[in-house]
Amino acid sequence: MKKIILVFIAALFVGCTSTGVQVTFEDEKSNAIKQAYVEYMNQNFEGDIWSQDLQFYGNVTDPIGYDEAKSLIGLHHELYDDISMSWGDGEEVNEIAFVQTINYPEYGYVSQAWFIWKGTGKFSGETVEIPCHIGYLWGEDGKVINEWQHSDQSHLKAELELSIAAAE
Amino acid sequence: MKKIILVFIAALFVGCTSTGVQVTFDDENSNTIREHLQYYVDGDIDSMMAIISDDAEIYINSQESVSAGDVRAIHELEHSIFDAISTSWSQEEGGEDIGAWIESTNYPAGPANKPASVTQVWFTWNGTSISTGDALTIPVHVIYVWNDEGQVQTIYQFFDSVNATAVIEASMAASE
Repeated sequence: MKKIILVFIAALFVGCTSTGVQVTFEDEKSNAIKQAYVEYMNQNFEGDIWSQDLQFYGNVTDPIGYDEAKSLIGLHHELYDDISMSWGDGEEVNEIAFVQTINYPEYGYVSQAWFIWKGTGKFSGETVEIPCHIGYLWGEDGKVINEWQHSDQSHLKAELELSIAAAE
Repeated sequence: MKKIILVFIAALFVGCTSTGVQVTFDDENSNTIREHLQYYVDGDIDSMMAIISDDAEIYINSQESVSAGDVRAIHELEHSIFDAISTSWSQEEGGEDIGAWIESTNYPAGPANKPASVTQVWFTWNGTSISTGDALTIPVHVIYVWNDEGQVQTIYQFFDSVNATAVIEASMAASE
């Protein structure tokens, strides 16, 4: 009987930790990301989840810091009206984003999000829908210390150029 | 004793399948994608595309898909414009370059989704324009969705095209 118990103990550890990686969805970190998106759309950046030591990789390999990242994100609202984010078919699945959090044993907690960003350019009048992916590395203090954004910025660049031309 | 065994059985299933999602790194799908990327870097587009279903839907920064044939043409164009194409990824600055971070995930069926088997990749794409000498680096994220026949049925690519467009346009102008 002891052998049987040992087999189960072994199965428990081998089965659960073949890679040791755990994926969760409605956990505290995933929900914090979704709430941050609500605050982003409301243009509320107070009490946010980002560390002051944030390294923000916005489609580049050289990061910018917290203040620059905040200015960059704020620019969205200067250039676009009716900003929204969505994930799903709009019927059965209608979320602000698909968010999962992965615990990598030798790295830490990483939240990953996928969504469609939508906005109407204040200068072009054009409504654009941009697929986006963002990764967030959480620090030990429960704040995001690294953020990696992957999305096409060509529409944003065009809208920015129109805004500069309009100001001249 | 039976109760103890039942507790272990319960722990086995609850502990392993709290969400039922399994992530692996050195599995068949991950290694196939690793090989697929190497074929791309080597410019062997035929071998690269062998794992892509003929009727695959490929979404490049868009909600409108393009075909496998379209993507083949794009990759051939990239190799005609750029030299020294490579991918790179390291966990931290100055760390070991493993080319790309690749992981495969099996999602079980949920209330609003069918089971899905995906392989996800993150890397920095590097290349140098043959005609202008401009170096280009682009962080890229790609999701490959596998079908039941072991082929890739859907691909989602996420990257910023701004710098790539500028370098490609300059390269093509310089070649004229």
